[in-house]
Parts: sequence; C-alpha cells; structure tokens
Amino acid sequence: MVNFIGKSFLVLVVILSIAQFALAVDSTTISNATFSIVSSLRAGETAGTTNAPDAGNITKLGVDITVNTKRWAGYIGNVTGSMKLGSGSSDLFVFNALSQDRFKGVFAVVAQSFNFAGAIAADEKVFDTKWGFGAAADNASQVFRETASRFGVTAPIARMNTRNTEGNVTNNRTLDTALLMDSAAPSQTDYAFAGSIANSTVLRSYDNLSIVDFEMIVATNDSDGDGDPDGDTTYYFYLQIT
Amino acid sequence: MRGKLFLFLVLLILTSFVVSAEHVVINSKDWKDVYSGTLYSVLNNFKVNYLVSETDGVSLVNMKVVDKNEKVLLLSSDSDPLIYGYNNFLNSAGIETEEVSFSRLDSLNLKLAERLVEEKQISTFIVVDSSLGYYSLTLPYYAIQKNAYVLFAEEDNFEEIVEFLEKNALEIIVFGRVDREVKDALKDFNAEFINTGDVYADGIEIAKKSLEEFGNNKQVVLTTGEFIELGLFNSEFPVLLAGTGNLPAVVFDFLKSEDIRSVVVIGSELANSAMRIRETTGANVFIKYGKGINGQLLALDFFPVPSFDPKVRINEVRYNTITKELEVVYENFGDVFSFVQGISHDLLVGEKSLGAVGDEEAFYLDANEIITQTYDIDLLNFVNEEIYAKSNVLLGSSFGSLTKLLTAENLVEIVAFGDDSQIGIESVIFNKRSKRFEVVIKNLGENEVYADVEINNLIIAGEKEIVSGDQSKISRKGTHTFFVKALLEEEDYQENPTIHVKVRYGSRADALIKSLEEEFDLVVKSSNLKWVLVLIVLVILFLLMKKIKEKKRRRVR
Repeated sequence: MVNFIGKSFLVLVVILSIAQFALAVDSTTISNATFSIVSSLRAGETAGTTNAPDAGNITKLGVDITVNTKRWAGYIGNVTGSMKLGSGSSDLFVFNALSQDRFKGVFAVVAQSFNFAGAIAADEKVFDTKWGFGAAADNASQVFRETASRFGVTAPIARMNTRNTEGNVTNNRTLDTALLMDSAAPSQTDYAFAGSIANSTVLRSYDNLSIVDFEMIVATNDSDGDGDPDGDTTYYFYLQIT
Repeated sequence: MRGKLFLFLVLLILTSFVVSAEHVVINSKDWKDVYSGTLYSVLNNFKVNYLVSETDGVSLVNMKVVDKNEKVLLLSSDSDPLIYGYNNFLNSAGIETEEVSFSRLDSLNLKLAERLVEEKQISTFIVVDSSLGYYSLTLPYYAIQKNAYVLFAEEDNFEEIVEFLEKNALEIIVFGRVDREVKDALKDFNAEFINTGDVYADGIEIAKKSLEEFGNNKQVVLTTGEFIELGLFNSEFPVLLAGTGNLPAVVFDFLKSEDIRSVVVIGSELANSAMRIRETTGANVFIKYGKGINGQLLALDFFPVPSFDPKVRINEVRYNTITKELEVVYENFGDVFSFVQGISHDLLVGEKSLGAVGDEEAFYLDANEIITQTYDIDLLNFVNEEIYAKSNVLLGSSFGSLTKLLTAENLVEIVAFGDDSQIGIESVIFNKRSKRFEVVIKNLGENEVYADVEINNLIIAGEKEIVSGDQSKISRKGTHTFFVKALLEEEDYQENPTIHVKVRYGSRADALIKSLEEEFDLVVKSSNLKWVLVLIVLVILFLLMKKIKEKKRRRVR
C-alpha cells in the first residue's frame, strides 16, 4: 500500500429559473430538475372606445388597439451557479456564486438535437416562409430587426425590453435573442433561439418584477389551425457554459 | 366455410398490423418497451412520446402534444401499463388510435422488429444484453443512421431471437457482454462482436464506428446512462456514457482525439462533468435541462433504466498501533460486484491534516463481501487524540471505469493487534462436474486463521472475470478446501493455462489484512461418475454374458 495525496472535487450546482410570458398558462408540476416557473403572464388586449354620433357634430375618432401576438412567446429568467470544494452533502468550502460570465447563453430548440458545432446565422425572411408567418406585422422580419455578433456568428437579433433600478425602460437593451440555424437549407425545426446572458446585478425584467439574467423570444405556431398558438411547438432548453 | 373463416382471420391479422400512424405513444413501465418503441418511431420518422407518469397521459392530450388531427399508434403493455384504459381515454378525447398490445411473454421488442422488417426492410440488427439498460443507450444513433434495430437478448428469449435473425438478418452486431448461450448461438451468423470488457469503452467503439461510417459532426451527446430521453434517439450525434460522478478517461481521450467541438450533456446532474470538459478540452458545452411546451416549462422526459448501482460502504476505519497500518473495512452490501479504489483517506485531527493514503489501483469487491485494505502510515504520536478519516472512494464496473464517488467520514478507532498468521496454498483444482475451483489452503501458523479466496483474470466465454468464494476459518495446523464457483467450460481451458489465486487472510475474522498470491497450472478434475458408469456397464455385461453361458450350458444338457 502506497501513500497517496488526496484529490479535491469541484462540485458545480446550477440553478435555473425561468419565467414565461405572453401565453396565459396554468400552474404546473415540475420534477427532476432544478428549475421552476416563477410566473406566467400575458398582456391584456384592448380596443378603442366608441362614441355615439350626435347630429351636427363631427367626431374625431382615435382608435388604439392592442392585440397579443399569436406567433411569439417569451422566456425570461436567471441562471445561477455555485462552486464547492467537497462532495456529496458535506462541503469543505463553498465559493462565492459563480459569475454569470460562466454562462454564455440559453438556447431554445425545436428539434430533439441541434448542431451547435455547425450553427450559422439564420435568414429571417426564410424563417417566415418556413414557419408560415408570411408578411404579417409580427413576422420574424419585424422581430429580428438588427444584426450583431452573437455565439460566434453575425446573426439577426431581437432586442428585449429591460428596466433599470428606477423602473424605467432602458435604452441600451442588452438582452437579446439571436436567430440561428444548423442547416444551410433549413426546415422548420432547424432553428434555435439563443438568448444572451447578462452579467448584471441591477438589470430588471421587462415588467420590473425581478432582476433577470436573460430575456428571450421564441416562435410558436398554430399547426392545428384553431387560431390559438397553443404550443404545438415543444422547445428544448440548453444552457451554454463557458 | 372454413376457407372463409381462414380468410377473415388472415385479414383481421393483417389489418391489425396496418399502420398509418403519425404519432406513436408508449404506455409501459418497462424501459425496454420505451426504448424499442422510441427507436421504432424514429426509424419510421414518426413523432413519439412515452408516458413517464400516471398524469402524463392526460397532459399529452391537454397540452395538445397529441392532437385530434393525428393518428396515434398506441403501444400498450398488457402486463405493465402506466395507465389502464389509455386507449379509451384517447378515443374519448376524439383521437383516432390503433392499439398494439403486448405482454412480458410476447415482447414488444421482437414484435416491432418484425414490423420493421416489413415496413422498412431492416436487415441489420444489433444484439445486446438487456440486464443493464444503460449499456444500450449508446446504440440508437448508430442504429438510426444504419437503418438498424436493437434486439434485447435474454436468457429466456434468445432462441426466439436466433430464429428471427436466421430469417431476417443480413448483418448482425453483438454489442457488449452477452450470455455464453447467446454468443454460441450467434457464432454461425458471422456476427461482428464489439466487446472491450468495459461499458464506457464499448460506447466509444460504437461512436468511433459511427464517425467512420457516417462522418464527424464534431458534436457528441453525453448521458449518465440512468434514463431514456428523446435526445438520445437522435440522428445527428453519437451518444457517450459519462457515468454519474467521475468522467471516464476514455471519454476525455475520445473528445480530444476526435476534435469534438460541441458537447451536449443531458440533465443538470452532469453540470460538473460539463465544466470539466469545457475547461480541459475547450469544447463548447451545452446542458439540456428542460422543455417548454404550451407556455409551460417542464422537466425533460426521463424514463429510468437499470444502471450499474453498487452499494458499498466503509464499515470501519482503524489504526493498528502494532502494525502501524491504517485499516479501512469496506462492505459491499448490494447485489452487484464493484471495483473499488480509495483515492484518498485524509486523516485529520480537528482541522490539522496528518497525511493521506489511498490505493494505487482498484480492487475487486464482490456482492456481500467485506474487505479490509491496509495502508502504511505513522500515526503513533496522535493515537491519544480523535483522528477522523475523510474518504473519497471511486466505484465502477471495471478497472478503467470508476465513475461513482463514495464519500465518508469516520472516527479512526485505535487498536493494537499483532497478526502472525501464515498460510500456504496446497493445491488448486477445477472440478468439471461441480463447476468450481477447489483450493486447498493449509494453516502454517500457531493460531486459527481466517481466509477468503479470489481467482483473478479468468477468461470465461471470452470475457475476463474475477470469481471469489466465502470466507472460512482454518483451525490451527489444519487445512481447508475453499470452493469458488466458476462457469468454465472445456472450450475455455486453453484460454486459462494458469490460474491466478489470491488469498486474503488474517487472525481476525473482520481483518484479513494479509494476502498471498500464487499462480497454478490449470488442473481439471474429471467426473468420477464416468468411471462409475463404465464400471456399471461392465458389471451388467459380465452378468449378461454369465447368464448367456448358463443358458447355453442348460441347452447342451
């Protein structure tokens, strides 16, 4: 028997929390994973008011209608991690929380697998064709209005609203979603929506309810044709670590 | 009339097999059904869902994962369904179904194989032992690319499997360790055998084969091997087993040698491995952790599969002041063997470290066996203080794949025992009839001794094996025959010209701290029964001849 210098173990705990908005949902049971729904909301729909016409009057009508998109859903949330020296239930030392810099992005993918090694920038117009969004006011071309370098490629991005500590919508919208694909001739399921993760302790969510690390937008479809984007689309979520 | 009835029955059978399904749903508690049904669906390019809980079946409908526009092929276990009456439930929700029922006796695995031969003209089959499910999780990618199907060979169905293969197989791959009967039966099929003796290395072999045949996408999927998840049945990337604790070295080597740039790990349990891969290989690492559906965020669909799950604990840690050795007593209280390596036993007084000891290599610990490992360390100056041993121990199914981590903290008991026991191995014989080694050990010491016999590096049916017997006491100056069961057949004899015997022994029953290792030529004891039978036959012949002679004599008179 020979003397041996003991090894230490690094244990990483990743805790994820995600909130989803834009589609009203019931609460759900979550098991087998360390993440949870924080809340799930959708915006109210409003229509302009109407006035009964009076004889002899000319009435100027202001019509302002807000309609919820049926083509997009959003996910927001936090990514936290800690590093420990130890193992199992006993820890010799717990380090400070891992910096968000250790996490690069959150990916939502339709297919069971996505070729991350071969990810390229998607064309939003092609996307609109593949998803049947056509020339609608809320098609991908209207959502992914800019391009920027994200995840190693120059991709179309959609900037998300966030709020500062005063609760005001910030101008420098640091959280965004990149539109990627893993095939030069993509099918509907070859796309990925990639949300950037911000390293900030003050960035607040679009609704000013919490501090967030990412906000992202994903497409939904209506394959059963009942007019409700009822989530026929299942997304698989991936967290990229750096 | 009989002809019409026959025609009606044939039509009935045929129509029951006509599938125009777009979506397969599997309702079974048996992982083999879930595996078979999922692979069948992917090969047919159908959507697939398997139920993972009793409420899951309702959710599939409520969330419109299965909707009214689809035709559903429902694979229902009669013997082990997760939900009873699920076909009726789907029908009442307005969903058109075609139900295929099966039971334990009438396995879905083989039933779907027959269908695939008809529907997809599949003629390549991969045969794998189903006793440990995780073994088969590296196969779907290769099977999907190759248009092949995975067959689970078991003790009670291998004849059916062989019959099926005789009729339908053009190419057969036997993956991993299979029973001797299965191996023998498949010898005439010119099958390709992939078996390194290590489950993780076998996974690497099939991944390499995949890359050679189908190209390298520079991306792989890693799994603990404890569950089925739909991402494991993908058509783009090989799947590798990563264990649950320590990432096997063969996996690291593969990632580097194949220049893998992206690694997807399934489930947050592998976050630690993911970090290590990122840091040591530089590959981009992605953790698949959940799914979003109909506005809800859900856990991935994990269906548990049987995996290597050793139950090992440290019963006691002692310091023997006479031998100046630390004695660590391990117990395997489970049903499966394990290789064990104490990578560190840190000895502490309060927060002060007195040193650390460990094993240079793993040792074999059989099910229900207790083994005491000893380590040289001088702690004599601290025996009046409370010494704690913090242990990190790796467990695994082979020397090269120690993937589970056991941690323990024990107060070190101070003992003072001398051990002057001595033994000698007198003889080693393999008894062909009783299929066991008979190892005769003599106690050469002045006191009674306890001993336990282990035979290493046996080759049985082409597999390297370690076998061991039970511990026994040998009286002072006495001898004792230890019996060690080994399923050695005549064809194995030439693979085992020498037998490596290891005896652990000691003067205390719970501290076999000494060991003796020797090699012996294989000596096979043939059955005495053969000679007894020959003798009986000779006696009968003698009696018969005597009788005939007497008859002749009578006739002469």
